[in-house]
Amino acid sequence: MSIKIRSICKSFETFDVLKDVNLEIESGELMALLGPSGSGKTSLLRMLAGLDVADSGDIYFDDQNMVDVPVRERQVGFVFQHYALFPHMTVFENIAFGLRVKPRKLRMSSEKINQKVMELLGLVQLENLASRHPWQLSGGQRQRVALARALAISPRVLLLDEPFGALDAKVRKELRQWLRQLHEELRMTTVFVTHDVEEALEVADRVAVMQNGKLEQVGTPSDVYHHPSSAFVYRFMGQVNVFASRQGLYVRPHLLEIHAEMPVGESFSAKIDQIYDLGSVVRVDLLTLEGDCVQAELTYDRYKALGLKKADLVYITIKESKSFVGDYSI
Amino acid sequence: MAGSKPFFRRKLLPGFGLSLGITLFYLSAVVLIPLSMLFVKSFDLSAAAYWQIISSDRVLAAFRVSFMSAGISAVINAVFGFLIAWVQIRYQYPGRRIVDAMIDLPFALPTSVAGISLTAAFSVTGILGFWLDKIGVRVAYTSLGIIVAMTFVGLPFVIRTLEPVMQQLGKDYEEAGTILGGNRWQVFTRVIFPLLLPATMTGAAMAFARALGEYGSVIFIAGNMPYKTEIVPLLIISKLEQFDYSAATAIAVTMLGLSFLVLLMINVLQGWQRRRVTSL
Amino acid sequence: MKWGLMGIALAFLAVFLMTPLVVLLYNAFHEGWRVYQMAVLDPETIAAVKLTLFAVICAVPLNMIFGLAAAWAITKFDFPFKNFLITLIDLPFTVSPVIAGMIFVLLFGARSSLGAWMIAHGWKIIYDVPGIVLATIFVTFPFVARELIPLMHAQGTEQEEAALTLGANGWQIFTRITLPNIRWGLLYGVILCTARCLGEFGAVSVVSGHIRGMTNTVSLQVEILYNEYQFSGAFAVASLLVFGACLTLLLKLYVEKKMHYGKGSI
Repeated sequence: MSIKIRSICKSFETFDVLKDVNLEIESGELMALLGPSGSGKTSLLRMLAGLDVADSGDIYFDDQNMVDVPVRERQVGFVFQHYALFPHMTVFENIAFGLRVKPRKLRMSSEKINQKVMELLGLVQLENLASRHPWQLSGGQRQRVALARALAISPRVLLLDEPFGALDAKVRKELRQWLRQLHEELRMTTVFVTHDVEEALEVADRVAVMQNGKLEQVGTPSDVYHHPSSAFVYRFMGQVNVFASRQGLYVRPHLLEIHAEMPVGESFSAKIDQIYDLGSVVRVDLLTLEGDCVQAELTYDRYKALGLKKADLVYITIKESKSFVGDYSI
Repeated sequence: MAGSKPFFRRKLLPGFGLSLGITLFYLSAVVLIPLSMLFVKSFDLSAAAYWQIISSDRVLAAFRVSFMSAGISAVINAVFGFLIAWVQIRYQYPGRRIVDAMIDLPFALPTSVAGISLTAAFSVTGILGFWLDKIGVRVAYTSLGIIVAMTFVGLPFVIRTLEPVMQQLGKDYEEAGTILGGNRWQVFTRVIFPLLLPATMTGAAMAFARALGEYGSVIFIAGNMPYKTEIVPLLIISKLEQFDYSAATAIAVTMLGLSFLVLLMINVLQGWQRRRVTSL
Repeated sequence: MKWGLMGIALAFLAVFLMTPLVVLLYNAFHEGWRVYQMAVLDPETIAAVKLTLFAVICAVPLNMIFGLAAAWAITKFDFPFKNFLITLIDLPFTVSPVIAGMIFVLLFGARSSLGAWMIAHGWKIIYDVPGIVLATIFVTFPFVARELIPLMHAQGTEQEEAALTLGANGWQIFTRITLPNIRWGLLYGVILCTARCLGEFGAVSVVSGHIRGMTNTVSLQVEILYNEYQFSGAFAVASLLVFGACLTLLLKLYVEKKMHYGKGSI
C-alpha cells in the first residue's frame, strides 16, 4: 500500500498547522516524520488515520482517495503516543477488540479470534501476559500491546505517534531495533512520528523533516544527514557551530580539528575556554579571535596527545563545512 | 471540506446530534421553559406595582434576615471549614475516614430531618439548648437558630472546595517559606493563606448561595415571626398559600436575580482560584 | 498546635453534625420499639414511602440519561456556547427549592391558562403526583451531568479514537469503552441524585398540597407529624431518611475509593 499526500493544508484560526504538504510513501516503506514540536508532524499522521481533517488537499492509499473515508473504514493501525490501551480490559481483550467489533458478517469465529490474538502475542513476545491488565505492564510491554492491537485488524498502513516517547532511554533503544526487525518481517507501509533525530536515522528507510507546517526535506537518513537542503535541517540533525564572522559558515563540532602548532593551509587561532571530558570524546569550547564561540569534539587519545589546557592558544582547521545562502538567523 | 469553521466540520466521534439534541430538549423542557414562566409572569406587573411589593417593610425585613443570616453563616463556615479541611488534609488520626464521610451529612440528610433534629437539639429542653439557656443564649426560634441551620447546610462547601487545593499545594511552599527564614505565623499568613484564599472564598460563596435559598431546615428552628425571623423562601410560600401570585412572583424574581449575582461572583472567584493555583 | 486545631475542628463537627443525629435517634426510639414500629408502619407513612420511591424511579433514570448525553456532547465535541450550556445545566442548583416548586405552580397551577385547560381535561399536575415528580426532577437535574463532565473531560478522547481506528461503531465505543471507564463516576452521580430525590423538601412542599396518603413524600410526612406535635412519630419517620442518608454516605465512600483506585492504577 503506497500513500500519496497531495497539497495538504490546515490552519487553526490564524495559525497554519500544515502548509501545502506533498509526500509520497512507497509500499512497504518505513517513513519517519521528524521535526520539533509544533512542526505539524502529528497533525499529518492523524490525518492519514482520519482522526484530523485537512482544510484542503488529498490523501491516497494506492489509487483510492481517502479524504472522505471515515476513520473506522480506513483500516489503519494507529499506535497512540500514550498507547490509549483500554484500562478495563486485559491484554488479550485489548488486542481482540478490533476483531470483535467487526460487523457479524465479517467477524471471525471466536476460535479464530483466539488463534489470531495468540499469534499476535507471539509476534510481540508477550504470550504469558495475556490475562494481565494494562496497569500491570511496564512501559515497553504496553507499547508492544498497543502495536499488537493495531496489527490485529490487518491494517493497510501502520501509523505510530512518538512510539518511543514515553519510554526510558534503555528500553527505547531495544524497542527501536525490535521495531526495525519487525518491519523487515512484515514489510507493511509504516509511518512514525518522532522528534528524536537518532531514532529517525536508525529506524527509518526514509526521513521527512518538517518545520512550521512545511516539509523541509525528504530523503534517506544519510541523505538528510550529509546533504541537508537547508540550514534548519543541518542544525536540527545535530550540534553545529555557526561562524557569524565568516558569513554563516556551518561546521559540526567533530569536523573542527585542533592543532597545537600552526598547520599548513587555512587555519585560525582560538583560545580554549572550557574542556569537558565526556568519556569517549572530549568537548572543547573555543573563543576565536574574531569573537565566535565554537565547540570542537575530539577523541580522548587526540586530546591527550595534544595536551590541551584551559586558556591555551590553539589553531583550528575546518575539515568540512556547509554554507546556506540567505540564512544567517540563529 | 465544506467550511473551516469548527461548528460545521465533520465530527470525528459519532452521536453529536443525538446527544446535543437530548441535552437541549431535556434542558429546555425541565429547566428553561418552567423557569422562564417566572419572568413571563413578572412582566404582568408594572414597575410601580413591583416596587410597591418589594419595598414593603415585611419583604425588606425578610431579605435583611435572609442575607444577614446567610452572610454570617458563610463567614462561620469559611473559618471552621478552613480549619476542618486543614485538619483532614494534614493530620492522620484514627477515624479520619469516618469524619470525612460525616462531612457530607448535610448534603445527604433531607432538610426537613435536619430541621427537626437541630430544633430538638437547640430548644431549651434539648441537649445543647439546655446548657446554652443556662448562660443566657437562646437559639431555637430566634435569629440565632436561622444561622445555626444555615451553617449546617452550608458546612461541606468550604471544606470540599479547599481540600483538593490544599492537597495539590502540598508542603513545598511551606518548606520553601521556612527555609527562607519565615516563622510559622509568617509562613501561614504570607504564603499559605494567600494561596488558599480564593478557594476559601469560593466555598464560602457557595455556602452563602445555598443558605440563601434554604427552606426546609430553617423553618423548623426559625420561629418564623414576620419582620424578625421570617426568611424570603418562607415569605414566598406564604404569599403562594394566600394565592397572591404577583407578590410571590415579584419576590421570587428578585431572589433569583440576586442568586444569579452570587453565581456570577462564584464564577469570578473560581477563575481567580484557577489562575492562582494552576500557575504553580 | 496539632492537637489544638484538631480539637476545635472535631468539636465543631460534633456540635453541628453528631448532636442532631444523636438527638434524632434518641427521640425516635425513646418511647420504645412499639411506638417506633407503629409510626413507621402507619399506612400514611407507607404511602409516603411509596410516593417517594416512585419519584426516585422517575427522576433518577431520566436525569441519568440526560447526564450521559450532556457529558458526551460537551466533552467529546467542540461547539459554540459550550460554557454557557454548562452554566445552564448548573442552574437548578442556584434556584431556591421554593422557587423551583413555585415555577411549576405558575406553569401548571389552576390559575394559569395551561393549567386550567389541563385540569379541565383531567390532567392534574399541581397538588398531585406529576407535580411532585417534576419538582423532584428539577432539583436533582444537574447531579449526574455535573459528576460526569469533569471526569470525561479529564479522560479525553484518545481511548475513543483508538476504538474508532480499530473499527468500532458509535454504540460499541459508548458501551464497551466509555461506559466502563466512567462507571464509578456515573454511580457516584446516581447516588447523589437519589439521595437528593429522597430528601427533597422545599420544592415538593410547594407543589404537593399536603394531601395525606396521596401527595405526601416522606420528608413532608415528617413535617406534618412534627407540626401536629407527634414528635416520636416525626422522628421515627425521619429516622428512615437518616438510614437512607447513612447508606448514601457509605456507598459514596465505597465508590470514591473505587474511583481513586481506578485513577491511580493507570
